[in-house]
Amino acid sequence: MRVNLEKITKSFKKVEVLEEINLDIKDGEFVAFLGPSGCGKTTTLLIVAGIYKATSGLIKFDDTVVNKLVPKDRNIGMVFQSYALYSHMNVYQNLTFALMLQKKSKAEMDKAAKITSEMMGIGHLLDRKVGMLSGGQQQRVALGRALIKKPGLLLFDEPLSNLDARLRIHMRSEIKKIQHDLGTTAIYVTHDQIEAMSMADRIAVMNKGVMQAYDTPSNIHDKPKTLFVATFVGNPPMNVMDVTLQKENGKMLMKLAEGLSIEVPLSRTPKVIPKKVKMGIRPQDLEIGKTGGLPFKVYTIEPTGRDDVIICENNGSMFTGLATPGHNIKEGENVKVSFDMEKVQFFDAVTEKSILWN
Amino acid sequence: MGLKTVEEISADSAFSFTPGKSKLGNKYDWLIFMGPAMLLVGVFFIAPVIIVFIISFTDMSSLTGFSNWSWIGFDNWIKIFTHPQSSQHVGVTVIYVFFTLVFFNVGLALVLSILTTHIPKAAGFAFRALWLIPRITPVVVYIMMWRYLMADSPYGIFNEIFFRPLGLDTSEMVSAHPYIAIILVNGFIGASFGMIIFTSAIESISKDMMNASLVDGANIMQRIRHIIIPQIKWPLMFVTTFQTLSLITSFEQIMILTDGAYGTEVWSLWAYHKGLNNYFGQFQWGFAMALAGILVIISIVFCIAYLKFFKFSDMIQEPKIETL
Repeated sequence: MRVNLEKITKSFKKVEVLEEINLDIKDGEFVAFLGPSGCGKTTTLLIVAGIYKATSGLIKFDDTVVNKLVPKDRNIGMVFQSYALYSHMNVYQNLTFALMLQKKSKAEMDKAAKITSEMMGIGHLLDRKVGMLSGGQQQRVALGRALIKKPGLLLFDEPLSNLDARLRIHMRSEIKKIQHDLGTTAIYVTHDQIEAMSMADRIAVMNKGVMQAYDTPSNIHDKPKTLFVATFVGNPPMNVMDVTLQKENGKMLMKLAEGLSIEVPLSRTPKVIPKKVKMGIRPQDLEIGKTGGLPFKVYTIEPTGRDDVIICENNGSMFTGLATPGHNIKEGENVKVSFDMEKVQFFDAVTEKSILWN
Repeated sequence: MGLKTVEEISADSAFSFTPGKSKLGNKYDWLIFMGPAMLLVGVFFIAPVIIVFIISFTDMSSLTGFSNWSWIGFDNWIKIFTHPQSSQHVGVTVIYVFFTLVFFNVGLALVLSILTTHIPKAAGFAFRALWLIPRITPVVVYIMMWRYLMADSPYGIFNEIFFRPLGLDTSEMVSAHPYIAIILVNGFIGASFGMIIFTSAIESISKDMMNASLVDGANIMQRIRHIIIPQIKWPLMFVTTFQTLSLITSFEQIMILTDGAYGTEVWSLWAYHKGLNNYFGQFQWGFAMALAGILVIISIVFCIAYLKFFKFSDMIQEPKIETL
């Protein structure tokens, strides 16, 4: 099922929570809504589900406007963060609730419950009350309940947030595999960028009711359209600092501090240069050494196993870099930080929009 | 001074959890915590019941006074079963309790709570607040209001506003329909208790679960039947049990409205009339206590029956164990 959102807005009383959301989702595509809490991603999802009404704008499923359809007529399945299982029913009744409401025969319900529960690996739990299940098992029941109707669109509202870390990684791949195998279009709301990056075909990054970017995970990461996207996506987050860009002798120079300028390569030269520019650089794209570059003092070192996160300080501004364990950088030491100029990002400091990718 | 070992420190502590090692750390600890409450419950709840049964085996009345009474065995109890009015009192009590409970204290309460949770929050709150007014009105004022509502033409409001303009016969409604009168009068007060309990129970059902049922294809009625009612099973049981017991023993509204006339003498009112308000000046305490004793026995039977009917033991869930 294709999904189109056209100029969707939503206000609660007089507070506008969504500002003209436009989105097109292809058939079978897995789209993640990514943003901090309160950004409007769940509101958008509930509008697609038909639980909230959009204040204005059109929602189309396969070119049919569904604004006026109640949730049950939208052919959707939904998985909630709290699982939202019917605690007074057992697993079988939870799975077949939708079919029971459709007045399907007992034989049909049995068959569907068997297929779905076996796919979800909960076939042996059908008689259990849901309160007796573990978090992971409950999540599988919730997913099974959404899938059993063979919906055209699957909606996920932070479905993995309540699971422990190990199980979350496991369920992440499981959900992606099932969605891929069934070919069902899916919208997945999350505040976890790793979930969004690893699962989605395209990510819609949202902040304060505004859609900041809608693109593939690699483009979101490598070509962030706004400063928000740049700093929200990526771990550890992107470093940002104020710089000045100047043209000198036909070359673009980035002035970091008095007497310290670096040449900007052609691939990163913006067409128009605003007055105030912010430069962004990801921790993995800078190098911490003894010579050459911007002077910093090592504030703290956080080992993570694969890399050591080096946090440096210069006049109150913090910079994060990565180093392979075994380096000889020590806390409190004075270091020099240099940048891979092929990887820098530039943003208009006023509009916070990228001057490279817009 | 040397350092103490862990065992020594814990033995010193008044709240040591090692049994038998300190003065308080033994199996009778619970008495200290439960004792005061148990004493109060014993003195004010258990003792009166025992006294009721003791007095029911005597002929104590205003004739014998508190000193000249004698044991008469089961005479009072036999009198109840042979009394010509007993069956009538049983009948009206059953009708009164059943219809008030089913249609008002649980039924109307459920309808009100479901309605007021499906309309905008402020409107629902205002509507429920209105239903609480009879509860804070003195009962005499409340009954006077009903008397004037149901009085005969030209005073009665129902008769003047509805029946006469429609060309229907007018009547003094309390005497013409006494059962309906006592059920309405009690029900309109009684519904608000369940309404408050059910409302808070419905509002505490998770929003996600309510939304999930809509996505699964339930309409509003199906959601009420398959989600809301099963989810508020516990408060339903509580209100049903509590209201059954309070209706069985309640009589004050009926006393002020009819004082038992027109066949509305419910069992508890009968006990009151016999024991504390005897027309002939013979306060039959012994007989009244036997009547009250019947209520105690019936109440206990109802309690047990409800616990069985609502499958109380099923409502207690087993602990969750986190496994993959």
